[in-house]
Amino acid sequence: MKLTGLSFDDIPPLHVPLRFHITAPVFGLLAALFLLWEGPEAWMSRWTTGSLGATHLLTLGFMAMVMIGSLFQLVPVLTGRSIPATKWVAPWVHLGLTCGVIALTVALVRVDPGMFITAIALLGAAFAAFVPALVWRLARIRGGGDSIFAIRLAAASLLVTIGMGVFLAVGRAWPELEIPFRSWTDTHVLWALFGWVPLLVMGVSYQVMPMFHVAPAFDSRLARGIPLTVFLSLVLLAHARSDHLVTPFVTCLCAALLAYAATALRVLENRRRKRADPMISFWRIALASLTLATVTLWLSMATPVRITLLPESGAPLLTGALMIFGFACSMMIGMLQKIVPFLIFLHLQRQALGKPAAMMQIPATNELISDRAALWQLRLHLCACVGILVALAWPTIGRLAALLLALDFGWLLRSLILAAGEYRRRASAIEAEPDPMASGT
Amino acid sequence: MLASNQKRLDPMTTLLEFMTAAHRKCDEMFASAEEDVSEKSWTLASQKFAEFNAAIARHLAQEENVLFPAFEEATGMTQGPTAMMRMEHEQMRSLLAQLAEAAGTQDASRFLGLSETLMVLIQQHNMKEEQMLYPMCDQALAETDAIIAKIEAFSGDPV
Repeated sequence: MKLTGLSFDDIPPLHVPLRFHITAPVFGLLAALFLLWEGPEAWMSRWTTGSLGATHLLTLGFMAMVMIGSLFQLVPVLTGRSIPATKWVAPWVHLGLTCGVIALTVALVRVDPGMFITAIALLGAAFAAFVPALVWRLARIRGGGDSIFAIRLAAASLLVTIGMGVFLAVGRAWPELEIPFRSWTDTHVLWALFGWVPLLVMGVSYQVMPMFHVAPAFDSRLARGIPLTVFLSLVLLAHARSDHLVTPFVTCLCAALLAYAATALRVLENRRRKRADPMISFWRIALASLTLATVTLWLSMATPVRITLLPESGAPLLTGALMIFGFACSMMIGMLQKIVPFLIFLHLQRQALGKPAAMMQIPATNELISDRAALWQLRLHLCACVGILVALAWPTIGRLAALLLALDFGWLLRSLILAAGEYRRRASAIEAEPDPMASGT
Repeated sequence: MLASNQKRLDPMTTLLEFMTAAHRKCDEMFASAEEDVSEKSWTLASQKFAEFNAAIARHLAQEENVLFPAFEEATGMTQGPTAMMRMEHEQMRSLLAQLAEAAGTQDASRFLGLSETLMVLIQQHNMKEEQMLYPMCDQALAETDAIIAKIEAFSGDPV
């Protein structure tokens, strides 16, 4: 084993993950305000400007923002080596992603070919600065366990998603190319929502559920078999030319996703750490949403059944909303409230090392985001989930659902900003404490 | 008894397996104490926290006094991973002292905030040890059985 170059202390400066984590709920809020402005029409079909814009504000602006910020933090811990030049690269990735998501939303809403080119350039640059370094690190981890196994498949799905997304944007920028939008969009959505998102959540859950909830480890055969089945089903689906091939592949994909939801729930219920923790509820909402999304996907792709409660074009929207908001966003909103206070604690503690008097300035995590605030987050999030489901059946209440969504993300933004403010106060208080080592000289 | 919480698994046990088992044992003791605080059963909680505190103090001391010096001697790396791990041990000790204080004053909210922090700190520290340092130790140290015996002997209990 090569020992040199392994660093145990490569955590990036706090501003690296925090700028992504605090920007993320701003985009969630923007998605909500956008839906508020668009009104009921946005909830009618996946092809409306309202739903296309809101989808990308949530998936790229919120979800990708959280994922990238967390990966900058996690990769050094997982691999012992940081992403090269993190301190300089991260702010540019952040800027590219922020401007790129805005450009893409404007392009989708105004159907503006020039703006699509801007979006491709900005998002392309942001991902190009980050993804190759990530893939390089992931490829070089030896062994790595079930988590890395799933995260590698997730990264491969991300590459397909980004690739298809760029092609679609190119098709919009140069309409004369006449690319087959419908089928390419389906492939893009399938790899994004049923590849990248669940595979990454699987990889993360194998690690965090046993760790943070003192739960039993996932059975290794399932922990690898499930993501592999998901990935292979997606590959086969992408090549399935006839309907009678689609049915078995979709069934395989759905069976694997349901198996994951069931396994994860069982692991969670067998946890040894039984203290009250809103994160458990966020996990339950996420896994229930995954189950529902999988069932609706199966019904709409593998059977002729129509979900009668919904308008004609509502089924794909329901599946998408459940995967994006119910599954991915639930898990992320829960995790952000754990990660951000911990990172603040970690940096303050390092700053206070060697200053015994300063140790008293270091807050516990629930002084950064209070238990009450976390409980309200859960309540607001549940309301937003219910609001969205109802609005899909009755688009007339679309604005009310958008308002609930705004409250959910607005509350998260408030919590994170307050925590960051508390960090600033404590950091300057620690700075002001005398250093006993320095005073002797 | 505290001393019984680390059992020899079998003659071919690696350091990774042996030390990881100690981590899991500490995790469970911690979770159990935390649950009692969360239910405000203070008598039980204080006793369980004291047991956990003793078990983790012993584990940290075993690493710092037996395993790390052996690794440092074998590899010549004194400012590498072990220095980092020692620093993180200090961070844990500081939190453990504050937790003991919160348990003493029966301040559940403070205890649970600190324990959440300590849990995350311990887990990311364990990950570094289990995924990097212990495998490095297994590779760098020839006589793992002898080291394990020494670790067990360094119990803090009267010999």
